[in-house]
Amino acid sequence: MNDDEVRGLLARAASGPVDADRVDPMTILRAGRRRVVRRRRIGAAVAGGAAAMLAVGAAVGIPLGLGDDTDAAGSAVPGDLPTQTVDDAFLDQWNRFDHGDCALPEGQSDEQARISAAANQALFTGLAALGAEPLGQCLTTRPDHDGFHYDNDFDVYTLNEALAFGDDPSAVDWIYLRGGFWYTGGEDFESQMESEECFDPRVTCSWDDTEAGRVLLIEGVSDDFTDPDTESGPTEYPIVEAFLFRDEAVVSLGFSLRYESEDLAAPDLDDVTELLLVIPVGDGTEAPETEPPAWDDLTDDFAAAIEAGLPGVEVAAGTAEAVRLGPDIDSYGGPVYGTGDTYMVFVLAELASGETVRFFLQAQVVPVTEEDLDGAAAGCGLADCEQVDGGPWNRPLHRTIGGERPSLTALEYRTGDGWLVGVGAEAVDGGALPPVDAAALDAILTGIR
Amino acid sequence: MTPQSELEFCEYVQDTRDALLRTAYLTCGDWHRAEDAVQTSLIKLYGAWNRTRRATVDAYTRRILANVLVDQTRRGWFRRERAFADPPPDHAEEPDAAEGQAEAAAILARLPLKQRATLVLRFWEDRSVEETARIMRCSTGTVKSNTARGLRTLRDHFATSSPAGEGSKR
Repeated sequence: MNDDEVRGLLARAASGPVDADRVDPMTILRAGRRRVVRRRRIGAAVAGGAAAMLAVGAAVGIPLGLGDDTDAAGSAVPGDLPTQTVDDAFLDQWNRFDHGDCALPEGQSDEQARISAAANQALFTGLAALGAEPLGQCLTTRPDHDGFHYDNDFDVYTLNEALAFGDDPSAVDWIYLRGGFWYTGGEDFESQMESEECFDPRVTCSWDDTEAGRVLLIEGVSDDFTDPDTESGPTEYPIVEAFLFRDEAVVSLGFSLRYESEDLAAPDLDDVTELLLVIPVGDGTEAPETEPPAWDDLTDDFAAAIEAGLPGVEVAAGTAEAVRLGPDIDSYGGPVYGTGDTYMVFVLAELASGETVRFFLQAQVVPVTEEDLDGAAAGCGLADCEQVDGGPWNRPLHRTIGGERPSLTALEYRTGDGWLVGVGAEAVDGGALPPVDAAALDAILTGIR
Repeated sequence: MTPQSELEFCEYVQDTRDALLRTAYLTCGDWHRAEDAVQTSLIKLYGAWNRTRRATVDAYTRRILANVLVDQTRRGWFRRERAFADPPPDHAEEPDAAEGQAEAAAILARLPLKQRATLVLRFWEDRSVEETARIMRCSTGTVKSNTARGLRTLRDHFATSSPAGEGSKR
């Protein structure tokens, strides 16, 4: 086959009308502008001069958006706010895949940790797209770390997680997810896994073919998500589970459905299969590249959530700064957002009306009892706090701070992982509360995590 | 980005979107994925527009597109933004032409993604081995071996599917 014949083949394949208008320049432009706000600056952070700036800035806060955007107008942090040194451990905790604080696994090599991280990144992103959120709880009756981890005893990457599911905050639906992947070394595991997983008459098995490999689909009722030696209570639950047989690895995921709602659609075998397909396991010899968490990511996500929650707003990414509140926060004379363990991100934004508003994100892990929910951690000692209806996994409230720098904040305490997270809007130059209502702040908060 | 830069960017999108869509389609074999990949690639290009040399912007855009297409095979399932889009153009309006197009596309689908991408860059876009290597982020040796393997697969197909195939071999 000569070059001209190849060109002819390609020309025939590409022939026919193309509706190029479906790629609209203005749509691309708008999406590109939004993406610039979210653009990661890790490359700038290690470029030398910028790293030196960060090292100096770390003494008080992390000035972010390092200057090549047009709207660098200085920091958004109020000038009189007492702050102290930020600790990168907060970032590690904030970026835990399972939102929890479970002990990290021991004995993983750096390569195995990177393989786990790559798998976790894809899996938890896919789970979020399905509406699942990690409960952040640490199982005590079986190994529970931050998502996938390498188990040296069995030479397998394994995970056990509990996830809340669905959009109804009043529901108590959750799932128990287990999964794993191992490298086959060329051995065929299809027959073995089918005989091991499908002998139980309470399950139905079938096969599907995908580009990545064959998939063994299993659904029915099972009790083998419960360890009888360490766990008690009801044992049989509906399950959906699948095994993907790739060339170099077998990947499995299974959901044990702990649902009480009658109307909520549970994840099905299609969902499980799609999750399996996105988990990058490679061949075990080289881990895919992953990006370490950075303060810029936090501010990028915050800016994107603001823009998604408030149509028409323009975030001045160059003003973003992350700080930790100083220990004297409750005596400096200004708004008291939290305590000395509260981390905050401040950023300026222009509303569609043209008014400039200071938005802030605040977060910390708080071991509170229900009675203390509206206490110091939420800054409710010197503000008006109103608890609103929540669900089994969260306790939301709205806080109004008065005085010279009034603000409205939507806060949420998450009972699963203990995080108290809030999004607020504050007047920049004093005066009245900015025209950003609680519903908009709730929407931005939902977009954060 | 300045208004002038944005105008130049929009003009570039207007001028190149047809070619990019065809290149993406030839590489991935699906118009939905091609459209998604081209949009994603151009959005990424926007972020780098001010730093991109105009002389090499075409090659740079192809590099972004190649990476997006490879990435799609692993992550494409939750790009749901196309769920509400209109279906792609109906290529079956002219039966004979559509049949030839579909047959050619089916032949290309026999090739693994990277071999297909290499042949598209080499023979559809007429790029050199060196340029293809830069776009695909691989060595020139890998480009040559992907080209050879892809051509062999195509050659074998025509040899087995047509009694006159002998005459079309190189």
